[in-house]
Amino acid sequence: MSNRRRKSAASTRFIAYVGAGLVHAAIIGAMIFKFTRDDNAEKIDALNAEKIDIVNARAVDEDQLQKTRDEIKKKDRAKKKEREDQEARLRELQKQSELEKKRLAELEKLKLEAEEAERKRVIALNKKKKEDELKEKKRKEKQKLDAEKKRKELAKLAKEKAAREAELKRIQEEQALFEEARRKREQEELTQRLEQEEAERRAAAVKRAAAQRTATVQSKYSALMKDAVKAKWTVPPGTEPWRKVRLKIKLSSLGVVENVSIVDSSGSAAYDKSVETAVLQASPLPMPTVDEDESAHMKMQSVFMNVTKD
Amino acid sequence: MKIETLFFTAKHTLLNAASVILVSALMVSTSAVAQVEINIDGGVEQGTPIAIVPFKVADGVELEHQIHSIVANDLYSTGKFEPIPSEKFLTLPSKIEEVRAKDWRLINAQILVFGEIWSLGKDLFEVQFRMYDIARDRQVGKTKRIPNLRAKDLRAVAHVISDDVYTAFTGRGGAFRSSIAYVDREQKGPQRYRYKLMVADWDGFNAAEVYASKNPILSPDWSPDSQKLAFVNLTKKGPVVKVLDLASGRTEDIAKFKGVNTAPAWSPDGAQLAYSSSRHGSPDLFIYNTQTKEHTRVTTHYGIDTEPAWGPRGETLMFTSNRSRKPQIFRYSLLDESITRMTFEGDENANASYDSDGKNIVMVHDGGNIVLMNTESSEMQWLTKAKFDESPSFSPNGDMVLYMTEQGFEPTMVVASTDGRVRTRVQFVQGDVREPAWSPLKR
Repeated sequence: MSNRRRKSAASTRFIAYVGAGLVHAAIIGAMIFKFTRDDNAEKIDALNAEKIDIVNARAVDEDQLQKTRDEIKKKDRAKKKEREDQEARLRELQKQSELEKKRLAELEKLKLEAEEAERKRVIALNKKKKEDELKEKKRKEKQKLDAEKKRKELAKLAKEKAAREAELKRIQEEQALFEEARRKREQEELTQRLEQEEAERRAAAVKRAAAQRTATVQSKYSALMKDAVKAKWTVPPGTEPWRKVRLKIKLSSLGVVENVSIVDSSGSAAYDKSVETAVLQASPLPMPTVDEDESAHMKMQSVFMNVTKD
Repeated sequence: MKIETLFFTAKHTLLNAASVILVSALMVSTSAVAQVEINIDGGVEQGTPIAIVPFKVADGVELEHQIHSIVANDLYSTGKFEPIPSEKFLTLPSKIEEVRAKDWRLINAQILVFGEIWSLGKDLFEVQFRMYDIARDRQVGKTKRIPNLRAKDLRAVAHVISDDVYTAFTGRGGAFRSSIAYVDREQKGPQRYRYKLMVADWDGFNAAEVYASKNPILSPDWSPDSQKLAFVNLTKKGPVVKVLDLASGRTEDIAKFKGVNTAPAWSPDGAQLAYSSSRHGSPDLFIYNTQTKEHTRVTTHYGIDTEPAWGPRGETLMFTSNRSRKPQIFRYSLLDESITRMTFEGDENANASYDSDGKNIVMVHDGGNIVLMNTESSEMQWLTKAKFDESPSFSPNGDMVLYMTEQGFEPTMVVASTDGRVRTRVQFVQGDVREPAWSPLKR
């Protein structure tokens, strides 16, 4: 690891040296170029002057002399200026060299700082690396733990599932047993019901026959009772045709009238009384015997009579 | 714990109650299905069959009046009873222990009347009688004893028994002790007559002359206390309204004004007498006040207003008038003096009178039918359909109507039950009789 750091520091330093060399070369190059260009300019001027000479040779006059003087003067001024410029340029160069030195110092300082930073970074990096490793380790451990846990859970679930399945199976078995029992029971019940229904049907038929006999006997004796009462009834003269009375009559087993009560009065006491009297007068009323029909015999010991004049 | 128990008990009770209701509902429904219904329709309208046993007379004394036949006649006339001929009786009980309901049911008797007459000395008798409900096999009311009787009183006793039976089985007062008044014309020679105002028992027995005249007597009317009779007597000057005091036999002329004075009628309180008089031209109604002796004119119509009859409360005067061209019955109110026409059916209605409670009026319809009309519904009921009947008047209890009929050879007095079912000739009245009037009940 330190090996790697060292390698990186060496490459950095190498880059710095190459950079510094390049900078120097560039500056020197630039200065040479400048001088070369100035030479070219002078050449051009000389060329120009010769041209003028060629063009204006025929018309040389005083003006030309003057001009030449002016030009010489001009040339002197230019030379002087050139000298001054050169000096200025030298100063400039010196200044620049100093600046360069300063800058180099600066660079050196920066380089140191960078190195320091690099060192710190590397330390931090190492530290981080260590931390990461630790983390990784921890993660791995956790992973391992989790895996273990999961495995355990799975085992547990599997166990539970097995248990459930066992329970389910048990329930299913029980249910099957129960179903069987139920089916059996239902079968029995059905049989029983059918038997019962058959018995009931037979009983109903017997009952129906009895009821029919009762009805026959009852209607016969109802008619007899009606005739008996009617024979004794005298309607009070002047009774309105709409009068209607309803009586309840209690009879003994021999047909003796034991009690007559007005259930719904006709509104005429005389009319009510006439009917009541007729019933009492008709006592004993024809009554079916037990032998004829027991049910009718029982039933007809309480009868209702609805009596109208017309 | 206690509360819980309580709650439980309450719940239990509720459940019990619910089950009881359920069970009873079931029982009701089953009994509703099971109950025997007998419908009877069509019965014979008839009086209640009644057996009146000949009264046993001690010591075998022969009596002029047969109580049982008088009672039978009385009750039959009302239409409400149907006496069974005594030949049908299986036994003739006179004492309660001799009554066997079965014997009487056999001949369909519903009521039994029986009793004894004891002879306690020369022309001194005592009567005992009972009424018996055969259907219910029990005596009705108390055993009645009527002491201190002479042989001639036995007829009155019979009427007392009739009234008792009538009241016991109909709930209405009897009318058998009332009297009738009528006019008997006796021929004395060619075109000569003697007109006699007669008073008799309701069945015509014990008839007695109370006033007589050569000239016709018309329209007698009893005072409410039965002590006086108002009537019209024709005179040479015309008809005059008179009042006879029965006790003294004295008469008083009430209205002998110029023209005709007719049809007197006593007010229910006996203080006023309404009549018709033509003293102002056409006959109008007047009222005579017996206290002040003043006559007040009631109607002023140019038509004929006559035959006034008082409402039972004395607030109305019913009368016959031809103000609507043909004679019809009108009603004058003494309260507001308004006049209302009452009859619209038939060409003629006349000679109307009220029964004791004002529910019905009886009148002569179309010149010869006796017709009953309900004052509320104006529904008419024909008691007779022959065209020869006149002078109807109610019995004091309103259950019978006395009238004259000219059907046959001689005029006959008839009593009809108000249901129109039974008509009996008034037994002991004979001769050329007219103008009957039934008295109020004697008080």
